[in-house]
Amino acid sequence: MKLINKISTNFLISAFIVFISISVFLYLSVEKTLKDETDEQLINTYHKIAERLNKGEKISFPPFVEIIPASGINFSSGFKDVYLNSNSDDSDEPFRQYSSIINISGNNYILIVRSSVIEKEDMLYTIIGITIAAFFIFLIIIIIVNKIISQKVFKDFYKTIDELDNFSISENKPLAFNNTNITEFRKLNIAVEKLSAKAIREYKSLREFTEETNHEIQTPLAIAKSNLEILLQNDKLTENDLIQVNTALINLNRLERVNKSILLLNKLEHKNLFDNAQLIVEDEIKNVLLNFSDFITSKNLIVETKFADKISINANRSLINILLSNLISNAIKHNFDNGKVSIELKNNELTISNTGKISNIDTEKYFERFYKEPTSSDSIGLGLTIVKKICDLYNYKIKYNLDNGLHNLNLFFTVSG
Amino acid sequence: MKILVIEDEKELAKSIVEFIGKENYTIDIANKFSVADEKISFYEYDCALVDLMLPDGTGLDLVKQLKKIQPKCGIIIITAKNTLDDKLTGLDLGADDYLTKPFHLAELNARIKSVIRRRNFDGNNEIVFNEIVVDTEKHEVKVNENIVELTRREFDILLFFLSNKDRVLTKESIVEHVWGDDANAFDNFDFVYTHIKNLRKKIVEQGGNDYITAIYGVGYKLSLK
Repeated sequence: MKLINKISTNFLISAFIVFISISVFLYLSVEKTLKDETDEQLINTYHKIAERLNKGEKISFPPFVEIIPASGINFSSGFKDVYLNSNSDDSDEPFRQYSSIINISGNNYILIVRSSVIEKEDMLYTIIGITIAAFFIFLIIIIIVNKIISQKVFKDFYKTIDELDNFSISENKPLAFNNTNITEFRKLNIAVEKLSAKAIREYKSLREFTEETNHEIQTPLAIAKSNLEILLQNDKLTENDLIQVNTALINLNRLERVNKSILLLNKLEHKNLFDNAQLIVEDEIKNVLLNFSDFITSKNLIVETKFADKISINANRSLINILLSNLISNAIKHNFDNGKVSIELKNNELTISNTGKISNIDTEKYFERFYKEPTSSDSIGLGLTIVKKICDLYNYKIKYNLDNGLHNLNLFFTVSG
Repeated sequence: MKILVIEDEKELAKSIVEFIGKENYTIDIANKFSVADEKISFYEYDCALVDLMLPDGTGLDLVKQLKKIQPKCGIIIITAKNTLDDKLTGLDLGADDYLTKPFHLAELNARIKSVIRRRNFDGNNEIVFNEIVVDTEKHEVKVNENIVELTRREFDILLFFLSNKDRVLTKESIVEHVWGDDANAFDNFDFVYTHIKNLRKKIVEQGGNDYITAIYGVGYKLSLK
């Protein structure tokens, strides 16, 4: 629900209550005033008629003036509301009457003076009708005013939201808003500007820290590795010693790869660091496959390629090579011996499907950092994150699914020219 | 052959010297820019390893200096920074090769030899190891004067072995040298065995000796038994 509608709804609900109270109050006070006025008039009329009767005039004007002999009737004088059938039509109509005993030439009579009054229901309906009409006019005005307000007043607010939507912490562009004359929005803008600048600053320092740490790690790694390699050359080492030294080396290599992957991931935050060239995807895939041919034959895999369409993209060659290498090496690595890999290019879509172990891979988390299949322990878990980052860099869409025992990866290139 | 190692990490410099010291090189070490600058102006080198990040200057300036006063010296840049820019600038300035830390010493050794080979323009591109002769220019291998037909991978492996005689080479360093960085994505290097087996067979078929021995669980070694 829009804020303005929320406010208006509350406003309208209270307005409705106020309108109802006003109409009730109006009804009661109008009724009271009318009654008082009528009563006063009746008394006046009564006295005037009584005066005339005393003078011997004969007056009878039913139903407004009636004179009844007061013999043996249990009677109490005063005001009373009655319904009488006046001659004009059939329905009873409301009258206000005043009656009292009057003595005319020694005989007691009851003199009743009546005045026709407005039907209460009629009055009620009129008041309700006016109230409702007023309320609707009010409603329409509110709606129109709201529309104008949301267009004019909320313009700055929606602009702020738009800018926030497009804000990227890695882009090193703090948010800056135009001045607005609405205090709340101005406060919001200032707070958001401050927040964005701070976030960018902290992100930058964190990234620099990561980058420095990564670089710092390289040198000790190099020293440790080279010392172990020299140790390997020692003739005095037993077979077991050699294996232990080699295990240490292999793990240092792993550490080195993780480190390099993180360096690359950090670098991928900056699009402008990479020079682009026009690339034919098919050729790049063939290169990767050629490079991996030994891995393919050692697993005795069948690789099927179907290049229906020539896809030309504008991207950095090294990055595309990393992207394709990671995807294809995954399809090879996580395959069975004698398994199958199929690579297809069609329209602007690359599909890589492969046989392989079916485990409980969470397709949502597939591209997350360090996400591992529950069963595998040796995958580093950054390869696919790098793939995702490269795709993000070039606005390629990528998705993974498991279908009929086949792992399928679909990559949609943004084709240039 | 005279080699200059410009590297501020003393431990690393020591390992490099120890590993390549088995060759007949005269090796100088410079731990600082100023020392390196001085050595360059006083002595002639066949190859220089240049670390880009030095406490008192940048290696790129040394590369420039070397190109100016010792154009015959081969230059290999070694750096912890894996940035494409530095690599391009380095190679533009005239460096022959570029290696990022951490690297395999065997790889560095092979690169030094390759640079020295390319730098010596006396037409001799042959590596002779007893009955095995490798022409690096023509990509040709002869055993007892008979040409041995090797695949590209087998040729690369043999050359890597010959550049690192008498040294234990791990499977990882062989894979990285021959198949490149991409191969790191895999964890099963069993196919190396097949290539080496074929290589040994082809050499033996031409009457050559089998100089390559397997080191269990680690890798291989080429040596005159």
